[in-house]
Amino acid sequence: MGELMMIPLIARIRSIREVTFDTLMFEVAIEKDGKEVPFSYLPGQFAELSVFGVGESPISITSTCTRPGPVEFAVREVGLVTEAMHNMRPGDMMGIRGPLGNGFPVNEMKGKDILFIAGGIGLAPLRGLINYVLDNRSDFGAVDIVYGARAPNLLCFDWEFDTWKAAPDTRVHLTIDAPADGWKGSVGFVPAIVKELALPPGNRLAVACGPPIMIKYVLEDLAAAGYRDEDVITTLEMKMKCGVGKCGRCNIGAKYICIDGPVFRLSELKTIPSEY
Amino acid sequence: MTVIGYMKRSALEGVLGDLSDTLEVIAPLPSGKEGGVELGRFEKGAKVVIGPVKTMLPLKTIFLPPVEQIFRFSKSKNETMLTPSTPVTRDRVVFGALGCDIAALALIDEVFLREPVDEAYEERRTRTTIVALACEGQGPECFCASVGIDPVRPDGADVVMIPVEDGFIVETITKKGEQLGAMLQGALRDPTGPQKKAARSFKSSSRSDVDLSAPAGGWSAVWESEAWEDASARCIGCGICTVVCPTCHCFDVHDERHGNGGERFRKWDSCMAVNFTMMAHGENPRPQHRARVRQRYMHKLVYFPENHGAVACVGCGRCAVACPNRTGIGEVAARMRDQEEDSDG
Repeated sequence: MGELMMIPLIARIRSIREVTFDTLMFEVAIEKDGKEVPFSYLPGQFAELSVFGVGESPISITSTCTRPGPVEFAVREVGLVTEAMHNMRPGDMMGIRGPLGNGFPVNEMKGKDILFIAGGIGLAPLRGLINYVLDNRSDFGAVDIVYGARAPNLLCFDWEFDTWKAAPDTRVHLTIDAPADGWKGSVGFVPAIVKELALPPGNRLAVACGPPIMIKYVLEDLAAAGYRDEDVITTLEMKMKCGVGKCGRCNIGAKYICIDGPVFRLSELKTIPSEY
Repeated sequence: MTVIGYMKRSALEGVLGDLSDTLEVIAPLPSGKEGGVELGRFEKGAKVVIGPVKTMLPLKTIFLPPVEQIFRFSKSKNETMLTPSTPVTRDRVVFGALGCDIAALALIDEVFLREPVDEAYEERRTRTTIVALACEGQGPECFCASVGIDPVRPDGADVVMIPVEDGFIVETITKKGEQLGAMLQGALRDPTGPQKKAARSFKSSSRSDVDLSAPAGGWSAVWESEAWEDASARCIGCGICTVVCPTCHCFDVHDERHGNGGERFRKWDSCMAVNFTMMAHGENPRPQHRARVRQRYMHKLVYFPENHGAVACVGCGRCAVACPNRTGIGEVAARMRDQEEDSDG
């Protein structure tokens, strides 16, 4: 956090990388009073990024704390603030408040096999966790990554795939919704691929993030395959303003997604209404 | 609690005028042409409305203003300078606060003073002394006694003024109250026996029979209650209930740009608004009017108690008075419980 709850620090853009046609990745250095300051966070946390004069948006951190250096945010252009971000250049300044939210329970995940399941931009919050796991490879068991998008050019972070495939005991299963020229991987929706893989629960956690329809089927299929609710983890997207449990916007049941989440085990999600 | 003296009603404006030399004084003042009353900054010469009138907006307005600047910014080529706003410039005293409104602050404190602390809110709370006016029960809409509030000597007040004869018995409750009491000494005289007796026997007529309790079983027991159908059919979604509610505290954050600079504000918002949960890409997890009505009552009657141990209602009755359809939270709560009993039977 900055020193004051609603006062951002400065996030100076170091570089911008194209992720897909509508998504850019911003590498930012955090500054306070003109000096670069450290920014420590956990995989799965997020920050409120702002364009001064336009507004703030909650964006998940996609880099990993195991790699010191700029903090990375993948931003899809969907509204006013994200549009203004897409018009920014290296050297420009955003505001940043964070890190916010609980993050993934990395300590409790140690020693487990992990099945990552992501669709589209849903890979952004998982990418930080995947890289965290691979940077601490011996702390975790087998890793399987199922990732899909509608088309090959909509797969985010494609520069990571070869590195991930080359990591010990790690498999990457890519899929697209419909056949496309030059595509040699799987074709089909993410839930179908997960089902086909049929990885047994055993010592395995499933970590899923993607569009609501994907999540719905994935959760059903994992339950049918015998995964316990506490071994299925997801991270939610909600409208947020303050990010610190005051403004009330992301309240669902007795939880606030911004402070009690955004990461939840399915067993916790089942204690609140399904208004997400 | 210590009786520090008796003050004549006719002395009050003079006392507030003297206090305004060193403090920001906030009191119920006449507002508009139709006999309205609102909390406002007292200036010398003003007339205070102390009596059986509830301000249309609750006390929360002086701790969570309807619109509040968070910071200003200015941009140069390589730098963006932020200047955080100053929430209060002087210590403040608010006169004539009612028990319902004071009790609501303790509920909002649960949210705004938990970590990370909201500094602007905290500073306003810390730098404000609250002088309560013992309340007889201002109107038929009042039911604070039903939610465990003492409208005569409410928890959270620093000083209490109890109306007797043509003045007040003044009692101090907290350290802050004692400090203010010392500043009032010049206007106080020793109370007479009958005055003291009248203060001791001062009673409120607030209703104590409104039941806001939720049934056992939490939210899921009443999720499909017909109460939401009924309440949403009568609700036009105007959101006035959230504006006048002493415990509603949701806010929006937005920016304005002026040339190379600008400012960021927060302003009151309402869970009754369709875009409250609408995300930039168009998804809205609470798109139906019925779901939004349910959210408002569930938050007050079920979620808030689960998190903080008390219903988020102080029985002021402003929502029912302001509502175009006169819907009160008590009847919604009753309907919610009926449903549960129906489904059990």
